[in-house]
Amino acid sequence: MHDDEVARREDWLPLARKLDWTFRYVEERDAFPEEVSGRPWLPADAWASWAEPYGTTFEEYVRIQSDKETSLLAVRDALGRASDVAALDPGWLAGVKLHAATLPLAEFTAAVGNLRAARFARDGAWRTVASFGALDELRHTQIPLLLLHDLVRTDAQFDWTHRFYHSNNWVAIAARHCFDELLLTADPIEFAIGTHFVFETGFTNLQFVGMSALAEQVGDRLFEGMLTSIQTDEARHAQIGRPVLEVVIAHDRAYAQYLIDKWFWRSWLLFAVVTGFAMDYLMPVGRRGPSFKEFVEEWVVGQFLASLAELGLERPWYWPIFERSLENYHHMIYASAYSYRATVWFDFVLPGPDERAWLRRKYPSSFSLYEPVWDRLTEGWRAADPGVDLAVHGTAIPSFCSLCQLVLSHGTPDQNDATVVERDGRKWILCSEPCRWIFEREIDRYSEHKDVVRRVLAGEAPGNLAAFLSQYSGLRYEVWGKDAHAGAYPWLEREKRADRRERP
Amino acid sequence: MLVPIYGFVQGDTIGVLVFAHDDMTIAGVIEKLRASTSVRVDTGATGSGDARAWELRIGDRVVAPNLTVDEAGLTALDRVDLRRRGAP
Repeated sequence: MHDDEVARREDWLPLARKLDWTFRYVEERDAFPEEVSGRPWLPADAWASWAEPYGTTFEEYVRIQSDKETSLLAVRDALGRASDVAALDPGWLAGVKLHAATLPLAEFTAAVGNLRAARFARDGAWRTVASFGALDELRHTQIPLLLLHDLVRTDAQFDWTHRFYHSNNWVAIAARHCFDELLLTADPIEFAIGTHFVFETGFTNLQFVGMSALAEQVGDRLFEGMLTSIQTDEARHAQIGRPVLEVVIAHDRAYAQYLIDKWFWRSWLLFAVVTGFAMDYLMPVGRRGPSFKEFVEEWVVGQFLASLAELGLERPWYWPIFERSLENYHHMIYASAYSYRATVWFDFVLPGPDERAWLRRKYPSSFSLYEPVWDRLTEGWRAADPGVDLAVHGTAIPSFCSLCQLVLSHGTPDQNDATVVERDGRKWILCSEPCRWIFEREIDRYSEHKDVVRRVLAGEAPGNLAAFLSQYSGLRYEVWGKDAHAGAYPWLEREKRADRRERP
Repeated sequence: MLVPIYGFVQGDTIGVLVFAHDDMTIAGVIEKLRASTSVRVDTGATGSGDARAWELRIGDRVVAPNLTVDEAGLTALDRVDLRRRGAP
Protein backbone atom coordinates (compact mmCIF):
# COMPACT_ATOMS: atom_id res chain seq x y z
CA MET A 1 0.00 0.00 0.00
CA HIS A 2 1.36 3.45 -0.89
CA ASP A 3 1.51 6.25 1.66
CA ASP A 4 -1.23 8.24 -0.06
CA GLU A 5 -3.67 5.34 -0.11
CA VAL A 6 -6.31 5.04 2.55
CA ALA A 7 -6.82 1.54 3.83
CA ARG A 8 -10.10 0.07 2.76
CA ARG A 9 -12.67 -0.46 5.52
CA GLU A 10 -12.91 -4.19 4.91
CA ASP A 11 -9.13 -4.53 5.19
CA TRP A 12 -8.74 -3.14 8.69
CA LEU A 13 -12.15 -3.42 10.32
CA PRO A 14 -12.12 -7.15 11.12
CA LEU A 15 -8.80 -6.79 12.95
CA ALA A 16 -9.81 -3.57 14.69
CA ARG A 17 -13.15 -4.75 15.99
CA LYS A 18 -12.41 -8.41 16.71
CA LEU A 19 -9.03 -8.40 18.39
CA ASP A 20 -8.21 -11.29 20.71
CA TRP A 21 -4.98 -12.48 22.26
CA THR A 22 -3.39 -15.83 22.91
CA PHE A 23 -2.25 -15.45 26.51
CA ARG A 24 1.29 -16.45 27.47
CA TYR A 25 1.83 -14.90 30.90
CA VAL A 26 -1.56 -15.57 32.47
CA GLU A 27 -4.12 -18.29 32.18
CA GLU A 28 -7.21 -17.48 30.18
CA ARG A 29 -9.29 -18.30 33.24
CA ASP A 30 -7.41 -15.62 35.18
CA ALA A 31 -7.86 -12.99 32.49
CA PHE A 32 -11.56 -13.84 32.19
CA PRO A 33 -12.59 -15.33 35.56
CA GLU A 34 -15.92 -17.10 35.59
CA GLU A 35 -17.16 -14.96 38.50
CA VAL A 36 -16.95 -11.84 36.32
CA SER A 37 -17.12 -13.14 32.75
CA GLY A 38 -20.03 -15.46 33.46
CA ARG A 39 -20.96 -19.07 32.99
CA PRO A 40 -20.69 -21.42 31.29
CA TRP A 41 -16.97 -20.73 31.26
CA LEU A 42 -15.73 -21.87 27.86
CA PRO A 43 -12.31 -21.69 26.17
CA ALA A 44 -11.80 -18.88 23.65
CA ASP A 45 -12.35 -21.22 20.70
CA ALA A 46 -15.99 -21.62 21.70
CA TRP A 47 -16.55 -17.90 21.17
CA ALA A 48 -14.40 -17.50 18.03
CA SER A 49 -17.33 -17.39 15.61
CA TRP A 50 -19.17 -14.68 17.60
CA ALA A 51 -20.53 -12.02 15.23
CA GLU A 52 -23.08 -9.22 15.11
CA PRO A 53 -24.47 -7.68 11.93
CA TYR A 54 -23.74 -3.96 12.35
CA GLY A 55 -19.91 -3.99 12.32
CA THR A 56 -19.82 -0.29 13.14
CA THR A 57 -16.51 1.57 13.22
CA PHE A 58 -15.76 4.19 15.86
CA GLU A 59 -15.65 6.92 13.20
CA GLU A 60 -19.08 5.86 11.92
CA TYR A 61 -20.42 5.67 15.44
CA VAL A 62 -19.32 9.20 16.32
CA ARG A 63 -20.55 10.68 13.05
CA ILE A 64 -23.97 9.04 13.23
CA GLN A 65 -24.45 9.93 16.89
CA SER A 66 -23.43 13.53 16.20
CA ASP A 67 -26.05 13.76 13.44
CA LYS A 68 -28.69 12.38 15.81
CA GLU A 69 -27.76 14.91 18.48
CA THR A 70 -28.04 17.76 15.99
CA SER A 71 -31.50 16.63 14.91
CA LEU A 72 -32.71 16.17 18.46
CA LEU A 73 -31.45 19.57 19.63
CA ALA A 74 -33.25 21.17 16.69
CA VAL A 75 -36.49 19.58 17.88
CA ARG A 76 -35.78 20.76 21.40
CA ASP A 77 -35.17 24.33 20.24
CA ALA A 78 -38.36 24.34 18.20
CA LEU A 79 -40.72 22.41 20.50
CA GLY A 80 -39.14 21.99 23.91
CA ARG A 81 -40.45 25.12 25.60
CA ALA A 82 -42.42 24.72 28.79
CA SER A 83 -45.42 26.30 27.05
CA ASP A 84 -45.31 23.61 24.33
CA VAL A 85 -45.37 20.89 26.96
CA ALA A 86 -48.00 22.56 29.13
CA ALA A 87 -50.38 22.44 26.16
CA LEU A 88 -50.30 18.63 26.15
CA ASP A 89 -52.96 16.44 27.73
CA PRO A 90 -52.33 16.02 31.50
CA GLY A 91 -52.89 12.26 31.32
CA TRP A 92 -50.29 11.92 28.58
CA LEU A 93 -47.84 14.02 30.58
CA ALA A 94 -48.33 11.66 33.51
CA GLY A 95 -47.20 8.81 31.23
CA VAL A 96 -44.16 10.84 30.18
CA LYS A 97 -43.25 11.39 33.85
CA LEU A 98 -43.58 7.68 34.54
CA HIS A 99 -41.25 6.87 31.64
CA ALA A 100 -38.86 9.70 32.49
CA ALA A 101 -38.34 8.58 36.09
CA THR A 102 -38.07 4.84 35.56
CA LEU A 103 -35.89 4.51 32.47
CA PRO A 104 -33.15 7.18 32.04
CA LEU A 105 -31.16 6.39 35.19
CA ALA A 106 -31.72 2.69 34.63
CA GLU A 107 -29.97 3.27 31.32
CA PHE A 108 -27.06 4.68 33.29
CA THR A 109 -26.72 1.39 35.15
CA ALA A 110 -26.81 -0.33 31.75
CA ALA A 111 -23.68 1.67 30.89
CA VAL A 112 -21.98 -0.17 33.78
CA GLY A 113 -23.22 -3.54 32.49
CA ASN A 114 -21.90 -2.73 29.03
CA LEU A 115 -18.55 -1.57 30.42
CA ARG A 116 -18.16 -4.84 32.31
CA ALA A 117 -18.76 -6.62 28.99
CA ALA A 118 -16.31 -4.26 27.26
CA ARG A 119 -13.62 -5.74 29.50
CA PHE A 120 -14.77 -9.24 30.45
CA ALA A 121 -16.85 -10.46 27.50
CA ARG A 122 -15.21 -13.43 25.85
CA ASP A 123 -14.88 -12.18 22.27
CA GLY A 124 -13.23 -9.08 20.83
CA ALA A 125 -16.15 -8.11 18.60
CA TRP A 126 -18.53 -8.46 21.52
CA ARG A 127 -16.29 -6.21 23.62
CA THR A 128 -16.17 -3.62 20.82
CA VAL A 129 -19.90 -3.36 20.38
CA ALA A 130 -20.35 -3.36 24.18
CA SER A 131 -18.13 -0.26 24.27
CA PHE A 132 -20.50 1.45 21.87
CA GLY A 133 -23.38 0.16 24.00
CA ALA A 134 -21.93 1.89 27.06
CA LEU A 135 -21.68 5.17 25.14
CA ASP A 136 -25.26 4.66 23.96
CA GLU A 137 -26.55 4.20 27.48
CA LEU A 138 -24.82 7.33 28.73
CA ARG A 139 -26.54 9.20 25.94
CA HIS A 140 -29.89 7.65 26.91
CA THR A 141 -29.39 8.95 30.42
CA GLN A 142 -28.23 12.41 29.50
CA ILE A 143 -30.82 13.21 26.84
CA PRO A 144 -33.92 12.91 29.08
CA LEU A 145 -32.11 14.58 31.98
CA LEU A 146 -31.30 17.51 29.71
CA LEU A 147 -34.60 17.83 27.86
CA LEU A 148 -36.87 17.38 30.85
CA HIS A 149 -34.85 19.50 33.27
CA ASP A 150 -36.14 22.63 31.57
CA LEU A 151 -39.66 21.61 32.55
CA VAL A 152 -39.00 21.35 36.29
CA ARG A 153 -39.49 25.06 36.83
CA THR A 154 -43.13 24.79 35.71
CA ASP A 155 -43.90 21.25 36.88
CA ALA A 156 -41.98 19.87 39.86
CA GLN A 157 -43.06 16.29 39.11
CA PHE A 158 -40.50 16.32 36.27
CA ASP A 159 -37.81 16.62 38.95
CA TRP A 160 -38.38 12.91 39.52
CA THR A 161 -36.58 12.21 36.24
CA HIS A 162 -33.44 12.63 38.31
CA ARG A 163 -34.72 12.13 41.86
CA PHE A 164 -36.58 8.81 41.47
CA TYR A 165 -33.74 6.30 41.86
CA HIS A 166 -32.32 8.25 44.77
CA SER A 167 -35.55 7.84 46.72
CA ASN A 168 -37.20 5.09 48.73
CA ASN A 169 -40.37 5.37 46.73
CA TRP A 170 -41.87 1.89 46.44
CA VAL A 171 -41.72 1.92 42.64
CA ALA A 172 -38.05 2.93 42.87
CA ILE A 173 -37.39 0.06 45.29
CA ALA A 174 -38.97 -2.33 42.77
CA ALA A 175 -37.12 -0.88 39.79
CA ARG A 176 -33.77 -0.91 41.63
CA HIS A 177 -34.33 -4.51 42.68
CA CYS A 178 -34.68 -5.52 39.04
CA PHE A 179 -32.16 -3.20 37.40
CA ASP A 180 -29.40 -3.49 39.98
CA GLU A 181 -29.37 -7.21 39.32
CA LEU A 182 -29.89 -7.09 35.58
CA LEU A 183 -27.88 -4.03 34.56
CA LEU A 184 -25.47 -3.21 37.34
CA THR A 185 -24.20 -6.52 38.69
CA ALA A 186 -24.93 -9.25 36.14
CA ASP A 187 -21.99 -10.90 34.41
CA PRO A 188 -21.68 -10.26 30.65
CA ILE A 189 -23.43 -13.51 29.71
CA GLU A 190 -26.49 -12.95 31.89
CA PHE A 191 -26.43 -9.26 30.93
CA ALA A 192 -26.37 -10.10 27.21
CA ILE A 193 -29.24 -12.58 27.44
CA GLY A 194 -31.34 -10.76 30.05
CA THR A 195 -30.77 -7.22 28.82
CA HIS A 196 -29.99 -7.41 25.11
CA PHE A 197 -32.02 -10.42 24.05
CA VAL A 198 -35.03 -10.21 26.36
CA PHE A 199 -35.30 -6.68 27.71
CA GLU A 200 -34.13 -4.64 24.73
CA THR A 201 -35.17 -6.81 21.82
CA GLY A 202 -38.55 -7.45 23.35
CA PHE A 203 -39.66 -4.82 25.77
CA THR A 204 -37.80 -1.60 25.00
CA ASN A 205 -39.03 -1.98 21.43
CA LEU A 206 -42.51 -1.89 22.91
CA GLN A 207 -41.76 1.16 25.01
CA PHE A 208 -39.76 3.18 22.52
CA VAL A 209 -41.49 2.29 19.25
CA GLY A 210 -44.97 2.04 20.72
CA MET A 211 -44.72 5.15 22.85
CA SER A 212 -43.16 7.24 20.09
CA ALA A 213 -46.14 6.33 17.88
CA LEU A 214 -48.45 7.51 20.64
CA ALA A 215 -46.38 10.66 21.16
CA GLU A 216 -46.94 11.50 17.54
CA GLN A 217 -50.68 10.96 18.02
CA VAL A 218 -50.88 13.45 20.89
CA GLY A 219 -48.55 15.95 19.20
CA ASP A 220 -45.65 15.52 21.65
CA ARG A 221 -42.85 15.98 19.11
CA LEU A 222 -40.16 16.40 21.76
CA PHE A 223 -40.86 13.05 23.43
CA GLU A 224 -41.33 11.39 20.05
CA GLY A 225 -37.96 12.71 18.84
CA MET A 226 -36.25 11.63 22.03
CA LEU A 227 -37.61 8.09 21.89
CA THR A 228 -36.87 7.64 18.22
CA SER A 229 -33.31 8.86 18.63
CA ILE A 230 -32.72 6.46 21.52
CA GLN A 231 -34.37 3.47 19.87
CA THR A 232 -31.96 3.50 16.91
CA ASP A 233 -29.12 2.90 19.38
CA GLU A 234 -31.02 0.17 21.16
CA ALA A 235 -31.60 -1.66 17.90
CA ARG A 236 -27.85 -1.81 17.32
CA HIS A 237 -26.52 -2.91 20.69
CA ALA A 238 -29.45 -5.28 21.27
CA GLN A 239 -27.80 -7.43 18.57
CA ILE A 240 -25.27 -8.60 21.16
CA GLY A 241 -27.84 -10.86 22.77
CA ARG A 242 -28.58 -13.49 20.19
CA PRO A 243 -25.02 -14.64 19.34
CA VAL A 244 -24.25 -14.94 23.07
CA LEU A 245 -27.41 -16.94 23.60
CA GLU A 246 -26.53 -19.27 20.71
CA VAL A 247 -23.19 -20.17 22.32
CA VAL A 248 -24.76 -20.71 25.75
CA ILE A 249 -27.48 -22.92 24.25
CA ALA A 250 -24.81 -25.04 22.58
CA HIS A 251 -23.08 -25.70 25.92
CA ASP A 252 -25.72 -25.34 28.65
CA ARG A 253 -29.23 -25.30 27.25
CA ALA A 254 -30.90 -25.51 30.67
CA TYR A 255 -29.12 -22.38 31.90
CA ALA A 256 -30.00 -20.49 28.71
CA GLN A 257 -33.65 -21.45 29.16
CA TYR A 258 -33.57 -20.36 32.82
CA LEU A 259 -32.17 -16.93 31.97
CA ILE A 260 -34.81 -16.44 29.29
CA ASP A 261 -37.64 -17.51 31.59
CA LYS A 262 -36.41 -15.41 34.50
CA TRP A 263 -35.78 -12.17 32.64
CA PHE A 264 -38.86 -12.33 30.45
CA TRP A 265 -41.03 -12.51 33.55
CA ARG A 266 -39.21 -9.80 35.46
CA SER A 267 -39.19 -7.49 32.42
CA TRP A 268 -42.87 -8.16 31.80
CA LEU A 269 -43.97 -7.03 35.25
CA LEU A 270 -42.11 -3.72 35.02
CA PHE A 271 -43.23 -2.91 31.50
CA ALA A 272 -46.82 -3.79 32.32
CA VAL A 273 -46.65 -0.84 34.69
CA VAL A 274 -44.57 1.60 32.66
CA THR A 275 -46.08 0.90 29.25
CA GLY A 276 -49.43 -0.57 30.26
CA PHE A 277 -50.47 2.46 32.29
CA ALA A 278 -49.49 4.89 29.54
CA MET A 279 -51.11 3.06 26.64
CA ASP A 280 -54.39 1.96 28.19
CA TYR A 281 -55.13 4.57 30.85
CA LEU A 282 -53.10 7.77 30.55
CA MET A 283 -53.24 8.25 26.76
CA PRO A 284 -56.32 10.34 25.82
CA VAL A 285 -58.92 7.86 24.64
CA GLY A 286 -59.66 9.71 21.41
CA ARG A 287 -56.04 9.35 20.32
CA ARG A 288 -55.53 5.72 21.23
CA GLY A 289 -54.80 3.12 18.62
CA PRO A 290 -53.91 -0.45 19.52
CA SER A 291 -54.24 -1.47 23.15
CA PHE A 292 -51.28 -2.40 25.35
CA LYS A 293 -52.19 -6.05 24.86
CA GLU A 294 -52.22 -5.64 21.07
CA PHE A 295 -48.85 -3.87 21.19
CA VAL A 296 -47.41 -6.67 23.33
CA GLU A 297 -48.79 -9.34 21.02
CA GLU A 298 -47.28 -7.62 17.99
CA TRP A 299 -43.96 -6.36 19.36
CA VAL A 300 -43.13 -8.86 22.05
CA VAL A 301 -44.98 -12.14 21.81
CA GLY A 302 -44.81 -12.83 18.09
CA GLN A 303 -41.17 -11.92 17.71
CA PHE A 304 -40.08 -13.47 21.00
CA LEU A 305 -41.73 -16.82 20.38
CA ALA A 306 -40.41 -16.92 16.81
CA SER A 307 -36.88 -16.28 18.10
CA LEU A 308 -37.19 -19.01 20.72
CA ALA A 309 -38.42 -21.46 18.11
CA GLU A 310 -35.53 -20.62 15.78
CA LEU A 311 -33.10 -21.20 18.61
CA GLY A 312 -34.73 -24.48 19.66
CA LEU A 313 -35.77 -23.14 23.07
CA GLU A 314 -39.10 -23.72 24.76
CA ARG A 315 -41.56 -20.96 25.54
CA PRO A 316 -41.37 -20.19 29.29
CA TRP A 317 -43.15 -22.80 31.43
CA TYR A 318 -45.47 -20.12 32.81
CA TRP A 319 -46.83 -19.08 29.40
CA PRO A 320 -50.50 -19.70 30.29
CA ILE A 321 -49.97 -17.52 33.39
CA PHE A 322 -48.39 -14.83 31.22
CA GLU A 323 -51.34 -14.93 28.80
CA ARG A 324 -53.75 -14.42 31.69
CA SER A 325 -51.47 -11.70 33.05
CA LEU A 326 -51.60 -9.91 29.71
CA GLU A 327 -55.37 -9.66 30.11
CA ASN A 328 -55.29 -8.59 33.75
CA TYR A 329 -52.10 -7.47 35.41
CA HIS A 330 -51.92 -3.83 34.35
CA HIS A 331 -55.64 -3.41 35.05
CA MET A 332 -55.12 -4.83 38.55
CA ILE A 333 -52.15 -2.66 39.31
CA TYR A 334 -53.50 0.55 37.73
CA ALA A 335 -56.70 0.41 39.78
CA SER A 336 -54.60 -0.28 42.88
CA ALA A 337 -52.15 2.51 42.13
CA TYR A 338 -55.01 4.93 41.36
CA SER A 339 -56.25 4.35 44.89
CA TYR A 340 -52.72 4.95 46.23
CA ARG A 341 -51.76 7.73 43.82
CA ALA A 342 -50.25 9.94 46.52
CA THR A 343 -47.51 7.31 46.88
CA VAL A 344 -46.05 8.11 43.45
CA TRP A 345 -44.82 11.19 41.56
CA PHE A 346 -47.24 11.28 38.60
CA ASP A 347 -50.97 11.79 38.22
CA PHE A 348 -53.70 9.33 37.27
CA VAL A 349 -56.81 9.48 35.12
CA LEU A 350 -60.10 8.05 36.34
CA PRO A 351 -61.52 6.07 33.40
CA GLY A 352 -64.92 7.47 32.45
CA PRO A 353 -67.67 6.06 30.20
CA ASP A 354 -65.67 6.51 26.97
CA GLU A 355 -62.48 5.04 28.40
CA ARG A 356 -64.34 2.12 29.92
CA ALA A 357 -66.15 1.40 26.65
CA TRP A 358 -62.76 1.33 24.89
CA LEU A 359 -61.30 -0.98 27.53
CA ARG A 360 -64.32 -3.31 27.32
CA ARG A 361 -63.86 -3.50 23.57
CA LYS A 362 -60.12 -4.20 23.83
CA TYR A 363 -60.35 -6.61 26.78
CA PRO A 364 -63.69 -8.40 26.29
CA SER A 365 -62.76 -11.33 28.49
CA SER A 366 -61.39 -9.45 31.47
CA PHE A 367 -62.29 -5.78 31.81
CA SER A 368 -65.77 -6.48 33.21
CA LEU A 369 -63.98 -7.76 36.35
CA TYR A 370 -62.69 -4.26 37.01
CA GLU A 371 -65.91 -2.32 36.46
CA PRO A 372 -67.10 -2.70 40.09
CA VAL A 373 -63.78 -1.24 41.33
CA TRP A 374 -64.09 1.77 39.01
CA ASP A 375 -67.76 2.15 39.97
CA ARG A 376 -66.69 2.30 43.60
CA LEU A 377 -63.92 4.84 42.98
CA THR A 378 -66.29 6.94 40.87
CA GLU A 379 -68.88 6.85 43.67
CA GLY A 380 -66.14 8.08 45.96
CA TRP A 381 -65.53 11.13 43.78
CA ARG A 382 -69.25 11.74 43.43
CA ALA A 383 -69.43 12.06 47.21
CA ALA A 384 -66.31 14.24 47.48
CA ASP A 385 -65.49 17.76 46.40
CA PRO A 386 -63.19 18.20 43.39
CA GLY A 387 -59.56 18.33 44.41
CA VAL A 388 -60.08 16.50 47.70
CA ASP A 389 -57.93 13.61 46.54
CA LEU A 390 -57.43 11.93 49.88
CA ALA A 391 -61.19 11.41 50.22
CA VAL A 392 -60.85 8.82 47.43
CA HIS A 393 -57.63 7.18 48.51
CA GLY A 394 -56.46 4.06 50.29
CA THR A 395 -55.26 4.31 53.87
CA ALA A 396 -54.12 0.76 54.66
CA ILE A 397 -50.54 -0.29 54.03
CA PRO A 398 -50.36 -2.03 50.65
CA SER A 399 -48.44 -5.28 50.46
CA PHE A 400 -45.45 -6.08 48.26
CA CYS A 401 -43.92 -9.08 46.49
CA SER A 402 -40.67 -10.37 48.00
CA LEU A 403 -39.19 -10.78 44.52
CA CYS A 404 -40.40 -8.07 42.15
CA GLN A 405 -41.18 -5.64 45.03
CA LEU A 406 -44.30 -4.50 43.23
CA VAL A 407 -47.65 -4.54 45.01
CA LEU A 408 -49.48 -7.86 45.35
CA SER A 409 -51.76 -7.33 42.38
CA HIS A 410 -51.25 -10.42 40.26
CA GLY A 411 -54.26 -12.55 39.36
CA THR A 412 -57.79 -11.22 39.10
CA PRO A 413 -60.15 -9.41 41.49
CA ASP A 414 -61.77 -12.78 42.13
CA GLN A 415 -58.55 -14.59 42.98
CA ASN A 416 -55.29 -12.89 43.87
CA ASP A 417 -52.29 -15.09 42.98
CA ALA A 418 -50.12 -14.19 46.00
CA THR A 419 -48.43 -17.15 47.63
CA VAL A 420 -46.48 -17.50 50.89
CA VAL A 421 -43.13 -19.31 51.05
CA GLU A 422 -41.93 -20.57 54.42
CA ARG A 423 -38.35 -21.69 55.14
CA ASP A 424 -36.70 -22.24 58.51
CA GLY A 425 -39.42 -20.33 60.32
CA ARG A 426 -39.25 -17.30 58.00
CA LYS A 427 -41.95 -16.24 55.56
CA TRP A 428 -41.95 -14.40 52.28
CA ILE A 429 -44.88 -13.54 50.05
CA LEU A 430 -44.68 -13.66 46.25
CA CYS A 431 -47.17 -12.04 43.88
CA SER A 432 -47.31 -14.94 41.42
CA GLU A 433 -46.06 -18.44 40.72
CA PRO A 434 -43.28 -17.27 38.35
CA CYS A 435 -41.99 -14.81 40.99
CA ARG A 436 -42.10 -17.65 43.53
CA TRP A 437 -40.21 -19.94 41.14
CA ILE A 438 -37.45 -17.39 40.53
CA PHE A 439 -37.25 -16.58 44.25
CA GLU A 440 -36.87 -20.22 45.24
CA ARG A 441 -34.30 -20.91 42.50
CA GLU A 442 -32.03 -18.17 43.86
CA ILE A 443 -33.23 -17.84 47.43
CA ASP A 444 -29.79 -16.94 48.79
CA ARG A 445 -29.66 -14.00 46.42
CA TYR A 446 -33.11 -12.64 47.22
CA SER A 447 -34.13 -13.64 50.73
CA GLU A 448 -32.39 -10.87 52.66
CA HIS A 449 -33.83 -8.00 50.65
CA LYS A 450 -36.39 -6.03 52.65
CA ASP A 451 -39.59 -5.10 50.89
CA VAL A 452 -41.55 -2.08 52.10
CA VAL A 453 -43.59 -4.13 54.59
CA ARG A 454 -40.44 -5.59 56.18
CA ARG A 455 -38.98 -2.09 56.42
CA VAL A 456 -42.12 -0.93 58.23
CA LEU A 457 -42.09 -3.95 60.56
CA ALA A 458 -38.39 -3.42 61.29
CA GLY A 459 -39.08 0.20 62.22
CA GLU A 460 -36.99 1.47 59.29
CA ALA A 461 -40.00 3.05 57.55
CA PRO A 462 -43.03 4.70 59.12
CA GLY A 463 -46.28 2.73 59.15
CA ASN A 464 -48.35 5.89 58.94
CA LEU A 465 -49.15 6.80 55.33
CA ALA A 466 -48.53 10.56 55.64
CA ALA A 467 -45.18 10.02 57.33
CA PHE A 468 -44.32 7.28 54.87
CA LEU A 469 -44.87 9.66 51.94
CA SER A 470 -43.15 12.72 53.30
CA GLN A 471 -40.37 11.27 55.44
CA TYR A 472 -39.52 8.05 53.63
CA SER A 473 -40.61 8.27 50.00
CA GLY A 474 -39.34 11.80 49.41
CA LEU A 475 -42.73 13.07 48.30
CA ARG A 476 -44.46 16.28 49.30
CA TYR A 477 -47.99 17.43 48.62
CA GLU A 478 -47.10 19.59 45.60
CA VAL A 479 -45.43 16.63 43.89
CA TRP A 480 -47.26 13.48 44.88
CA GLY A 481 -49.70 11.95 42.45
CA LYS A 482 -53.27 13.16 42.27
CA ASP A 483 -56.20 12.71 39.97
CA ALA A 484 -55.08 14.44 36.76
CA HIS A 485 -58.40 16.30 36.58
CA ALA A 486 -58.87 16.75 40.32
CA GLY A 487 -61.90 14.47 40.08
CA ALA A 488 -63.76 17.13 38.07
CA TYR A 489 -64.85 15.20 34.99
CA PRO A 490 -67.63 16.49 32.73
CA TRP A 491 -69.30 13.07 32.85
CA LEU A 492 -69.22 12.84 36.64
CA GLU A 493 -72.27 14.53 38.12
CA ARG A 494 -72.09 15.26 41.80
CA GLU A 495 -74.92 15.09 44.25
CA LYS A 496 -75.79 18.37 45.87
CA ARG A 497 -73.73 18.74 49.00
CA ALA A 498 -76.74 18.47 51.32
CA ASP A 499 -77.80 15.23 49.64
CA ARG A 500 -74.42 13.54 50.02
CA ARG A 501 -74.30 10.80 52.58
CA GLU A 502 -71.25 9.42 54.16
CA ARG A 503 -70.19 6.28 52.32
CA PRO A 504 -70.01 3.01 54.18
CA MET B 1 -49.17 -9.18 70.64
CA LEU B 2 -49.77 -7.43 67.34
CA VAL B 3 -49.88 -9.79 64.35
CA PRO B 4 -49.34 -8.38 60.82
CA ILE B 5 -51.50 -10.29 58.31
CA TYR B 6 -51.75 -10.13 54.53
CA GLY B 7 -55.42 -9.76 53.60
CA PHE B 8 -57.06 -10.28 50.22
CA VAL B 9 -60.67 -9.26 49.71
CA GLN B 10 -62.65 -10.84 46.91
CA GLY B 11 -63.27 -8.17 44.27
CA ASP B 12 -60.17 -6.16 45.18
CA THR B 13 -57.11 -5.54 43.04
CA ILE B 14 -54.42 -5.53 45.73
CA GLY B 15 -53.52 -7.23 48.99
CA VAL B 16 -53.28 -5.10 52.12
CA LEU B 17 -51.45 -5.46 55.39
CA VAL B 18 -53.60 -5.34 58.53
CA PHE B 19 -52.49 -5.51 62.14
CA ALA B 20 -54.54 -7.56 64.59
CA HIS B 21 -53.99 -8.29 68.27
CA ASP B 22 -53.76 -11.99 68.92
CA ASP B 23 -56.86 -11.79 71.16
CA MET B 24 -58.89 -9.95 68.51
CA THR B 25 -61.79 -11.96 67.10
CA ILE B 26 -61.91 -13.00 63.48
CA ALA B 27 -65.06 -10.85 63.21
CA GLY B 28 -62.81 -7.92 64.14
CA VAL B 29 -60.30 -8.88 61.45
CA ILE B 30 -63.14 -9.04 58.93
CA GLU B 31 -64.19 -5.51 59.88
CA LYS B 32 -60.60 -4.28 59.54
CA LEU B 33 -60.27 -5.79 56.09
CA ARG B 34 -63.59 -4.34 54.94
CA ALA B 35 -62.61 -0.89 56.17
CA SER B 36 -59.12 -1.14 54.67
CA THR B 37 -60.41 -1.90 51.19
CA SER B 38 -63.66 0.11 51.15
CA VAL B 39 -62.22 2.72 48.76
CA ARG B 40 -62.19 0.05 46.02
CA VAL B 41 -64.63 -2.67 47.11
CA ASP B 42 -68.22 -2.31 48.23
CA THR B 43 -68.53 -4.82 51.06
CA GLY B 44 -71.55 -3.12 52.62
CA ALA B 45 -71.74 -0.76 55.56
CA THR B 46 -69.00 -1.35 58.12
CA GLY B 47 -70.27 -2.23 61.59
CA SER B 48 -73.54 -3.46 60.11
CA GLY B 49 -75.09 -6.84 59.42
CA ASP B 50 -73.52 -6.73 55.95
CA ALA B 51 -70.46 -8.38 57.48
CA ARG B 52 -72.40 -11.63 57.66
CA ALA B 53 -72.25 -11.89 53.88
CA TRP B 54 -68.47 -12.41 54.16
CA GLU B 55 -66.30 -15.14 55.59
CA LEU B 56 -62.61 -15.30 56.40
CA ARG B 57 -60.59 -18.18 55.01
CA ILE B 58 -57.13 -19.47 55.73
CA GLY B 59 -56.35 -21.53 52.65
CA ASP B 60 -59.53 -23.54 52.07
CA ARG B 61 -60.56 -23.42 55.74
CA VAL B 62 -63.40 -21.10 56.75
CA VAL B 63 -62.64 -19.60 60.17
CA ALA B 64 -65.43 -19.06 62.68
CA PRO B 65 -65.86 -15.33 63.42
CA ASN B 66 -65.95 -15.84 67.17
CA LEU B 67 -62.46 -17.39 67.31
CA THR B 68 -59.54 -15.17 68.22
CA VAL B 69 -56.56 -14.62 65.92
CA ASP B 70 -54.52 -16.86 68.20
CA GLU B 71 -57.18 -19.59 68.29
CA ALA B 72 -57.44 -19.50 64.51
CA GLY B 73 -53.72 -20.27 64.31
CA LEU B 74 -52.81 -17.05 62.54
CA THR B 75 -49.22 -15.98 62.85
CA ALA B 76 -47.23 -13.04 61.46
CA LEU B 77 -47.27 -12.61 57.68
CA ASP B 78 -49.89 -15.29 57.03
CA ARG B 79 -52.31 -14.86 54.16
CA VAL B 80 -56.05 -14.67 54.77
CA ASP B 81 -58.86 -14.25 52.24
CA LEU B 82 -62.13 -12.44 52.79
CA ARG B 83 -64.66 -13.91 50.40
CA ARG B 84 -68.40 -13.73 49.92
CA ARG B 85 -70.02 -16.46 51.95
CA GLY B 86 -70.24 -19.61 49.85
CA ALA B 87 -68.09 -18.27 47.00
CA PRO B 88 -65.96 -20.99 45.36
